[in-house]
Amino acid sequence: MDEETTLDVKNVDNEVTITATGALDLHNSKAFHDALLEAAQSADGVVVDFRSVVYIDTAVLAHLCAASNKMLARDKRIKLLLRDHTHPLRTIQITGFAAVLDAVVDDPGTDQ
Amino acid sequence: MIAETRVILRRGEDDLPLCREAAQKAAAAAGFEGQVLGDIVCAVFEACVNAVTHGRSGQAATLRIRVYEDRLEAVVKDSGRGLDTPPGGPLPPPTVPHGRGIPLMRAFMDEVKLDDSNGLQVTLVKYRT
Repeated sequence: MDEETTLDVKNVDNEVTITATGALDLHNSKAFHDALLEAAQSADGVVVDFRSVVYIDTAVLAHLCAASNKMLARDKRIKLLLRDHTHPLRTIQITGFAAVLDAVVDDPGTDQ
Repeated sequence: MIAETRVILRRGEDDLPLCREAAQKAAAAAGFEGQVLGDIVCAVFEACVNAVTHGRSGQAATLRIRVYEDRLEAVVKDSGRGLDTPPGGPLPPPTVPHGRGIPLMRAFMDEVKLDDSNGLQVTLVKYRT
């Protein structure tokens, strides 16, 4: 059974943090896409927290790509928080996204 | 064959969670775990995403997962136009938004077979170690 997918967006002094949980994919990532692209347009900093995400798909990678391209055009990079030994980390590593965003990996026992 | 699971994606994209659930259950029941389990789930899900995205409207895509003594085999079939571009390319760079589905399936699974003679049939195989 899919874990519940949730999305939380916080904006503190134009630093945006987008926190997702559960499985994020084509079927349920529109809100994530919209929040991420809006933040990438004008936020001073963008943090995407995937430490509680169990799966991502290529639709989510496309969203990250589009947002990353916008950030890079402004000489900024998305910070992506990931948990060690999770599949989103594996997907990010395989697809080479560390070249365009700052992936930060937590050990599973690390507090948020 | 030890077990078989079938999913008919009558509601297209809305049935995608069923595909993930089916892949997770079948792979776990077959004894796959950890990263390998995740690889199977992700690859099957990507194939199903492609099927509902590129399949013909009004004709449901299907997922069949079979577990054998030596492997798990997932077959996803749609009635769309088949492949738009040759499928053998590498993963695109992270600045390119699309084109990762089939390369990721190849990265996650031991075998990926594509048959676009009638729509597209994707066969994904993961062998037991």
